[in-house]
Amino acid sequence: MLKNWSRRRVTSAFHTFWMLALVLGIISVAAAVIDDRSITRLVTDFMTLCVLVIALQSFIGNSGIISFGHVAFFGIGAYSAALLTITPKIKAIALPALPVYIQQMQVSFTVAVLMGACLSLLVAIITGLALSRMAEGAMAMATLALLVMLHSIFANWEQVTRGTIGVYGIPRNITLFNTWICAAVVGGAALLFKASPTGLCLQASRDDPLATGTLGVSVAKTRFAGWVLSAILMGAGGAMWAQNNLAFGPNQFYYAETFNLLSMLVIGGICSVTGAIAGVAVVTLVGELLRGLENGLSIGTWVTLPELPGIVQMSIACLIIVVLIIRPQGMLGLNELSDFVYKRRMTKKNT
Amino acid sequence: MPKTLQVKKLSKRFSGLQALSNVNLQLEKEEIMGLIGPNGSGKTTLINSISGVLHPEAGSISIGNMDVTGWKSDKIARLGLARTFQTARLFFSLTVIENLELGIMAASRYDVDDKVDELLNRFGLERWAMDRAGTLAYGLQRRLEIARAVGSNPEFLLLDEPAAGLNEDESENLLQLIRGFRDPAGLGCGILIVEHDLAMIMRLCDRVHVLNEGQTLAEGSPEAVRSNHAVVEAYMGKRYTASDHGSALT
Repeated sequence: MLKNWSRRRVTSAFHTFWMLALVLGIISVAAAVIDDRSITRLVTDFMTLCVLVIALQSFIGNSGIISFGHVAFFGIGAYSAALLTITPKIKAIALPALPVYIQQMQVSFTVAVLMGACLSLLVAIITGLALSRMAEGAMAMATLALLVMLHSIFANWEQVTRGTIGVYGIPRNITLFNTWICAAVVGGAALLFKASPTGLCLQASRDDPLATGTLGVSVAKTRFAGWVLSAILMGAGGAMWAQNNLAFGPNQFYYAETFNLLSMLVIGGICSVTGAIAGVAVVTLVGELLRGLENGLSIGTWVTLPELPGIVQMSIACLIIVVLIIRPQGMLGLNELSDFVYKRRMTKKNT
Repeated sequence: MPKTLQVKKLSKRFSGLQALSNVNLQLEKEEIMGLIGPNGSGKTTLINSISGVLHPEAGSISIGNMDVTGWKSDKIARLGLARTFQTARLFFSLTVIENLELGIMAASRYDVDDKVDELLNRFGLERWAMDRAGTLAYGLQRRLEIARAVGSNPEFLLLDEPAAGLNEDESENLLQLIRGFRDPAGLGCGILIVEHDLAMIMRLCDRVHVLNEGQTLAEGSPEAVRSNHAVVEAYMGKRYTASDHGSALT
């Protein structure tokens, strides 16, 4: 089967991988050197969001099918990490109805991330078997139904999730180093999938599912593979996020977060892993710059701006509209970081 | 025994329209068969039914000993059947190389990079290798679609109006290419070609199958079909005289 792997595509993916890993690494090192608590928090948030948006990109970008349901996998990862990392003492008070073996369990960051990914994998297999057989529009709607279903479970399964009150007491296992490793690994996995024969078939089905079928490709199986992989990455991202946020409730895995992640992807470029990271960077920067305005701002003694609640969300929504008008495929379009170098080299060779 | 593509008593209906009615057709390997007929005669419906894009109501389709009636298109393609479409259906956001890779993968027996290089060279697409398919000129898009279809070394190739929109030189090049696919030294595959350029069909094909209103009107050598009264009538109308047959269908 390795015959079907294109050396060109894998090489190109590898080039993008090391360049992105380097950029993310420099950001992490810079934050470590500055050694400021708020900067460190900003960078760990950024890396966690990179993981989540890359996970979303690996399905939406390759298949062309908008998924509103991936935040459900994010929630699965977050809750599983919470249940596995909160100290037995807190669990005995907050979650007394949990089975004893879960109550007494407390695992490391890496195990929690892996378990989050595994649990998401299970749910993705069950849901993907039905969803991947649907037509594009129907599948998008079904993902929305999945989000509502999982949110209902998060909000009502009180013995496990504490319902709408939410869980607390998650240890902060996140460091600049482990978030960087996670972002690089997830980025590498998404790039490798994109370069793989299955990834290429999924991209072909994005353009023309009928023609893809006539080339001997089962579109349903290909979509299933993309769905499962992105759910695994999303679950891992959710587990990371939980260990960065320490307490959360079910409403953090619903429409607002879906919009937040989708906006980053749309702005950066749906079809590009590099675009996903660029989108997170732009939205994070815009958010940070405008957050001050939400609470009002004074410049010297003369200029005082009133409080502008909601200005961040409104600005991001405006930014999406502007990007969709000027560059519908997002900032990076269809390109990855290495494409600029690689394409030039190939063209030179062939002329 | 060499494989045969066989269509038996195939019928397909769209709401009130009988698109195909009891069509029989047999295509051997290393044979080029032309499929002609006036607009709306069911040519594309027949190709869609054979390739699994549409499912017929009655009749059967078999490839070799395998009855593939009602099979999905991907399963039929894996059995060695490739096709092109009336208007090129490329993966426009992917590069020329990636389009070719997708064609090659179905066969799973070639090193994808080596085979891509071979196809780029054979179809003269090297200059555009890294360009997105959507940015190519129309003639190049048609060439790329054919290159993608033959990438898997199919046993049967269905070409739906491959010369549509091509200029005279491009059509002539295409004709030479298609002849090459038929030759045992090339692909050695059986080719079913739908085309409105009757002069091309008459020069290229070993046999011609004529459809009219979903039914087989005639089948035989290009010469026999050219002089068939019913065929001329279907194309030119009843008032056309027998003495004009030769010039009518060339």
